[in-house]
Amino acid sequence: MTTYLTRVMSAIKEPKIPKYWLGYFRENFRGEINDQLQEAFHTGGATKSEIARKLHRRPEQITRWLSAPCNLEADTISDIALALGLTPKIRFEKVGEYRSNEKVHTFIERYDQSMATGETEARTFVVDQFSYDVRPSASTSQPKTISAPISNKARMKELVSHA
Amino acid sequence: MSIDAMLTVLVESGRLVEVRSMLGGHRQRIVYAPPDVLRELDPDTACYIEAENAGQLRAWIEGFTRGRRVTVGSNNNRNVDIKILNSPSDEVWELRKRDNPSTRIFGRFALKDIFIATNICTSRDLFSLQWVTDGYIRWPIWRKEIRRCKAVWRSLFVTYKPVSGEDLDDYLSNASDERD
Repeated sequence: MTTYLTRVMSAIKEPKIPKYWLGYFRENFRGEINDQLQEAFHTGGATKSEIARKLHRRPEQITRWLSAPCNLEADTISDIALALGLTPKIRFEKVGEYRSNEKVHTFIERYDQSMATGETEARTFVVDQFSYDVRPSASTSQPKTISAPISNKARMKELVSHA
Repeated sequence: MSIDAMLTVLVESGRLVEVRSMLGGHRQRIVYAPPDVLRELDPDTACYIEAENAGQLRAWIEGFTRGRRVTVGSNNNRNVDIKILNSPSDEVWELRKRDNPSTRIFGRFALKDIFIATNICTSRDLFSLQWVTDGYIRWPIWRKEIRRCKAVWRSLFVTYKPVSGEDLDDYLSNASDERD
């Protein structure tokens, strides 16, 4: 994550910010607005049809606005907020500002833990499998006699003596 | 060996890589992708012409992994974030980034809240007006992507089956049904 942050910081210092990062931060901001609207909607207690009536819109339109991050106009955000009895405020913060990360999937917790101890069920399986694969079998238990490579000079000598 | 352990093997060996938030944040859901899929989302390797879209898509996936509330719906609903594709017994899902350029991420759930993204397509590559006039019931490229998803899954998980449940809660947390 730190490496990514370094890359973002160097990208925004460039004379032209790469398009990738423009897209990335735009979508992040849309997501942030959608999160805030969803939270306001769920805590507000109003239904979508009530909001629609207040804003002279069809309920499907409200569903579309609230259901996923999209490029909402400032006016639309203000209208939805007002219908919920709220007023939106915008706040700027530095790129890479601390984000809470305490909610972690249990699989990741277990994975990180096993990586720290170096013992994973998977690794044990792989080791077991490996030791199974290299067990000497009846056909391979006898060491093979491999003749040493003969140099060209020796081969010539051999041929000459036969002649 | 359980599917957890298989997943651990795949992650350890680098055959699956986590699409992790580049700016930090919660990891309530996990999206894993093979390196070739991840390359399409990485700032260094994303195709330059599509770079802006790649950045948007990456941020969208990160929002999903941070645990953003998602709407799950049936196959014919267009206002949902995620849906299971026909036939449901295949357990092939699509994550739907709907705003322009709308993009579909195909994949399967290995465990609850763990999505394995196998292939990505933009909508414009998936549809053709010609099919509508020709009267196709099932979009040919769509079917191809579903088959591709299953093939990638088999190449990774061999015989392990994806999550198969009766209820939404078996697949995802913080998700609501379209009908709610």
